[in-house]
Amino acid sequence: MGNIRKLVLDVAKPLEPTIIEMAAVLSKIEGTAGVNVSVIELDRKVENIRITLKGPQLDSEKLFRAIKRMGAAVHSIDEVATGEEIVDHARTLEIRK
Amino acid sequence: MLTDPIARRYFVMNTFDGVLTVMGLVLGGALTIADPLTVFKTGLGASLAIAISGFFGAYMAEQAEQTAEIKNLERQLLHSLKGTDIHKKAKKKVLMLAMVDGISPFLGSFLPLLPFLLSHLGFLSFGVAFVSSLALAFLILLMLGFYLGKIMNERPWKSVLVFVIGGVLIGVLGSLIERLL
Repeated sequence: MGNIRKLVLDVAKPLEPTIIEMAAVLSKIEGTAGVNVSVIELDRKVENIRITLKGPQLDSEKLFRAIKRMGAAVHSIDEVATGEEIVDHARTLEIRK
Repeated sequence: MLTDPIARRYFVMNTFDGVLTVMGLVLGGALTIADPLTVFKTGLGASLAIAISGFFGAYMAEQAEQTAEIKNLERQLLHSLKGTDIHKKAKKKVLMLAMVDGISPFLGSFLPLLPFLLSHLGFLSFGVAFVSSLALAFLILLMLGFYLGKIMNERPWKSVLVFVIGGVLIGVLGSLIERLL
């Protein structure tokens, strides 16, 4: 498998651990250069978040395991970029409209 | 010291419990028993009983609470939390709370009993042991009051007063039992 440079995940998690703790844990995993965790939806006890990860060689297995260990679940993998450089998704004519 | 609010609550409530139990024993019976070793043994029995009841009571109750909370969370997350850090943390918390609930009444009741042990060993006279046991008990009550004051971030005299009133109340009741029965 080629090196994954960018991952965007849709995740459901309990309010504890906080997104600060979660981001800290994920950023320490080897091959990760930066992490962004954004809250999409906040409920009374759970929140849906979007985790964006970038790095020279993201270790998806380890990242998923860490997310699970913190009591969260990956609902979907929304974006992935691999290869020598990160390629953003192209804005097609349809989207631009 | 104790950062968890439930643990702090347990600590204060149960230390108070322990101290008053032994004060009741000392004031209500020590003068009649008049034998330091018997007072110490009776008190130790009571201390161990409240320690064990505290430990198991808190363990069962807290485990039920934590299990319910995790199940509730699982329902909302739509996935199991088995094997996660949340599960492990909850287990640790249950054990920690049970320990606090068991150890604090034991310490609260055991410390005021020590003078009687010292008296049995010949270091103190029975009278001195009696007085120092009560003094120790009141000292613990004062410290509890100050501790609560510190938690509230206010002047502690109010909580100190309430605890001392508790002590005096058991003192009055204990002496009544001693005199009337």
